[in-house]
Amino acid sequence: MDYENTQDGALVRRVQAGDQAAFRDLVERYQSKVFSIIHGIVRQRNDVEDIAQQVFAKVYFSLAKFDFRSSLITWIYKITVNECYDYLRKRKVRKLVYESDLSEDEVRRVENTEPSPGRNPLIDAVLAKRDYIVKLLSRVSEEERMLLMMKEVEGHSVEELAEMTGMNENTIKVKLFRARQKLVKASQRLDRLPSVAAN
Amino acid sequence: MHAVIEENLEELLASPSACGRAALDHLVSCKACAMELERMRQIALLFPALRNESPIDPAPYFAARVMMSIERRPSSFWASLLESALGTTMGTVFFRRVAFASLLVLASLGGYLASTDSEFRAGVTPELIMAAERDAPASEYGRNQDRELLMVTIATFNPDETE
Ligand SMILES: [Zn+2]
Repeated sequence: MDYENTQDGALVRRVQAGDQAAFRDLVERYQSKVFSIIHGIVRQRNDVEDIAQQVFAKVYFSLAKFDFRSSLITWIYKITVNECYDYLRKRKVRKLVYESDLSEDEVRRVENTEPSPGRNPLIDAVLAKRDYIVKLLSRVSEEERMLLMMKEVEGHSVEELAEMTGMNENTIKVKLFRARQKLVKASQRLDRLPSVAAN
Repeated sequence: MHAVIEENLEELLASPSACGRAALDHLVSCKACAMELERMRQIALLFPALRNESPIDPAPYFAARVMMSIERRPSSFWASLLESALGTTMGTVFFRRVAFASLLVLASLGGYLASTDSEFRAGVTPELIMAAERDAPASEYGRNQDRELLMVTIATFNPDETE
């Protein structure tokens, strides 16, 4: 599908021609979706807006490269997920630097990993699953991560993914297969799949 | 994983009952495929944990803040301009222009070095420009503007127009 002649395509053309009001329209159109993707991955409510701001800045400054072969939302989706992973990577580095100055006991207290009787085991199970899948997804490429999330989190079919990305269905299937194989290998390395029975 | 499962993987994960006979028969006889498929299915069940069940609304002035943050980043704009020029077919044109501009600079520098001993030409000389720059009030803003102006000049320079 040629996305140049869609409503989004016209909006992108206006932004590419330097129309700032068009970019503002684009932000308003996609801000809720971007917030939702970010919150799903990082769960730090306080940081969602900062990350979203980074996402839209990246969208703005790279919109010149947008070639209309994929849908705008696919493109924004990929930038958003990448930005979340950047954030998680930076947070991990910050945490490692910070923790290197603390004793083991202090680290445990900071992380609040000690079992607390007041915690909801169901919420803990969901958080454990989220952390686990976030970790697994860090082992695949940006494109594979985007395809897997569009399929499994957003619920798009292979046919829809083909249309949204401009690839053919067979290519999407092969890419998904390879990505799933990588996840299996990564999970074998991590070697502790949280019980799905906790559903 | 065998081809018959690989080809039907998405169907097998979504709804095995709707899948073709050949794939289902293979799973009965091939333990390796059955195990790998089960592992993939378990991993697929983890994805809903990434769904945002409690939507958060963007702050009322979020879009305005984004616009402000963009306007505050002129240097990033130039970086992205360069990046986009190098990353697309424009890259070749861009390199041609930079190469041509560099050659012009080299040629004029060579000409200057050759002529500076023999004669002092009237008008604007490199010494005059450097002296003017040295005596000009030091302003970071002005310097940045000059740098940006120089980049625009280089990036938009078209050798074809000089022919
Ligand atoms: Zn097999």
